[in-house]
Amino acid sequence: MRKVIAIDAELCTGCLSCEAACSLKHDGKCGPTYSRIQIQEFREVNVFIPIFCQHCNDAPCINVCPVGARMRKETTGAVVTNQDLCIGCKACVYICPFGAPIIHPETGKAVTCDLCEGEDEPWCVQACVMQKALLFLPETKASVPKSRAYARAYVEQLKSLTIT
Amino acid sequence: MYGWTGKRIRVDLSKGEIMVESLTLDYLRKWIGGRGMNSEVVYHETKVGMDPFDPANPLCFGVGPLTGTFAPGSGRTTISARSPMTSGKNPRTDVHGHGDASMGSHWGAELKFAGYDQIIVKGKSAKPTWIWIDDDVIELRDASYLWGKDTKQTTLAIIDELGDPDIKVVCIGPAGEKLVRFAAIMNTFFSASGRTGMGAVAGSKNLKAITVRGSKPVLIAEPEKFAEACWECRNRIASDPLSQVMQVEGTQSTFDDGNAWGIAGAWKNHGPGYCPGLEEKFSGTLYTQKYLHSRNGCYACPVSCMRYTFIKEGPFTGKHFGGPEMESMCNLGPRTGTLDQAATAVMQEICNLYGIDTISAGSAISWAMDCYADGLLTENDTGGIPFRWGDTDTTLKVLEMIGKREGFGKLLGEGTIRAAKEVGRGTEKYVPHVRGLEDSACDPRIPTGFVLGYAMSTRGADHMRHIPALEFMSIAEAHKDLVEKVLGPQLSRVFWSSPKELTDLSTKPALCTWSERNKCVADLFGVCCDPIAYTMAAGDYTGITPQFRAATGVSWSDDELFKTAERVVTIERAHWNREGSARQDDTHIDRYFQRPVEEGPWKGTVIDRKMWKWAQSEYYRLHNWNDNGFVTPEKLEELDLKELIEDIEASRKCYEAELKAK
Repeated sequence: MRKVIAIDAELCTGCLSCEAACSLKHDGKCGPTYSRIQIQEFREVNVFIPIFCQHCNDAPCINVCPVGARMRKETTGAVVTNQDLCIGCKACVYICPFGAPIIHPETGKAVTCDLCEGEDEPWCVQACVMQKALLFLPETKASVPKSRAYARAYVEQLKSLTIT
Repeated sequence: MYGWTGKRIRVDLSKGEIMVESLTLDYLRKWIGGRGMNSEVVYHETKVGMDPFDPANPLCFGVGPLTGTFAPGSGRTTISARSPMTSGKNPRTDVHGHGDASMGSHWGAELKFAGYDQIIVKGKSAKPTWIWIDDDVIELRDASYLWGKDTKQTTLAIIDELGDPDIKVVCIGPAGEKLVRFAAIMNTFFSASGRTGMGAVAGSKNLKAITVRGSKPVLIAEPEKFAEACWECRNRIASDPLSQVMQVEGTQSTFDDGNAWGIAGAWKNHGPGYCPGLEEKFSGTLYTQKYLHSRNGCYACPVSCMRYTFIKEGPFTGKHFGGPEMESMCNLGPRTGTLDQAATAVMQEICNLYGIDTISAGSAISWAMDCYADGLLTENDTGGIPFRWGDTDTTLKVLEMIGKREGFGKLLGEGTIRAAKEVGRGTEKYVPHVRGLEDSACDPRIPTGFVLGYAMSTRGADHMRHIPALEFMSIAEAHKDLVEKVLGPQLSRVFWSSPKELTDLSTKPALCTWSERNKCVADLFGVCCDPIAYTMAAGDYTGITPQFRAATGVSWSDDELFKTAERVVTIERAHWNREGSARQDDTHIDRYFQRPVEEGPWKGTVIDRKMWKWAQSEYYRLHNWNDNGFVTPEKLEELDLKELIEDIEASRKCYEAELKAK
């Protein structure tokens, strides 16, 4: 059973620690344009949505890539781009349901999350130590943060109804 | 360069010229960044007596080498200039000095991504202007269509114009445009640089906003070492109980701490010194339960302490906005005699939209209420508005008048000390301030470390210069080794054995001297000081120096960095000395030596005049300043600030001659 990064967007505070961690780990420098995880910001209502490759089980990007650069790693199950083959056409960006691939500032090639292969836990998950908006879970648990977020709201509603 | 970008921008708005300057490692070694570089410019590039609204006043935006990196809390920016709020000579309100304000959120990080360590703005634009920085492209743009908009409208309008929701904006609101002396500069919607009127300085230059977009990374000299140092620090912060409380309740948790220690949250303009039952109606815990919608985090901070409010009951139902922080709640709430948390939060939002310092605004209004209660201010003075304690409708209305500079709001917008001078009748005695900047939430009698810090702060009364949090027993007990390190064995014994430690001044000059430099290091690196000054989850500044060295690749020692902090504090002090401000201004108004705390655990407390005189002298001795509080030539030589000696000595001689003549 492979592990994935599950998201609870309600808990994301937009601190961007994950972006700083990701760029530092993969490129040895700190900058959001180097981060494979991108937080979509809606600051005027304080809403933040983490976006990164979901390593789809039937990945449209693998099918659409004209040079066969998108591939799945057997070790982690992550879908990544072979940097030697990529031509930077951005077809993977447009076919992705989330627009997850970033175009690397230095190479112009598509890059996606690799689940920090070799680490115990992806750095973004570790960076989100206090908010816990990102959790590294077995794939069958991927919906837990989202379904608990819904359940939490429902429970709050029930609680307020029981006040006499 | 690593950590630093090695570049800063100079803008001359009079000539419409923009220049990018390279920074040498020698210069950076001397000043590091952020507040350090700013204070250097604000001293060297101004003259004695310069009017803060003079176009030549340099408005500096400084970030540090760690800003925009994985270091915890690396989103800080310092904004500095000669301040229209602060004044000296006890106080002569036409004598001005150093001012600065600090802010978090995300603008500072974006400036690093665009490739700059600092922006210095001089001159005055003929028409309203905003500055656009897009990596290497720097432009001056017409802000006529933005002039008059509040800070939220301004930010949204610029985002709309540029078609990019991720750009970061600092801007002023109507208050700054109209030169309200305590106008603030806002960043990323609701993060404020409130104190000392930096917004008014921007307004005086016709500078409406600075917008930044950056695509570059901050380069790291030793990525693996840096990562290791950051992880260690971040995890230590995350596992500290005080950080966890900070996460849940935000800075409002410090208000609850204050309640627990018997410090009353500025009740009724710091008069009675205590409000029984305050914590049952007004607390961070209550606020979080009733009004918190979600939290918000500054760049790379593991804690995310900022509030986002959504009011779901009462007359303000449906209102949502960022904030409020503790000081805003305290100074607009209990200080004005109200315990209505929802109203207070809405007051804070009005201040954010107009771009007004919540502390100075609350001080001005509570001063008016204090004087009104004692019959020294009447409806004749206020244009018919009664100023009764706890009247939230009045406060809400008057805040808008301050923002628009209308009616009595125009006078209040001059800052409390100037308003009091105008009204006269002894109302000056009701203004808690140091150097024209009003005291913040700490009672000016009780926590003597903070009380001493207020007086010695280089930007007027301010708790953020020193933050001698170790004087609070619960924090001291959690950091016994640090107390030992800071005070030494002898003073530590005094500290632990003193029955009413909080009100005992004897260990405070030593504690404040260390705390001031400790906190300053965070301001130089461009990181949030909370984990090293208040929660102390990162220990002290030595807990963040490994990150600095790994990011920049330099090997400068902890001792050297601590000394650099001393240099920065000293040049700010020198700025005041140069204006003839020294011992006479390093004190509190008579009220706090005469009017005792009325009830509660610290009932009867006043500042002891004899101990105070001793504490001032001891503080100067520890700093190697003379007994009138002038920085000595020896100290200036030691800190490689020889060029300051002539002016400071000239000023000192003047000051001492005046004293003799009295």
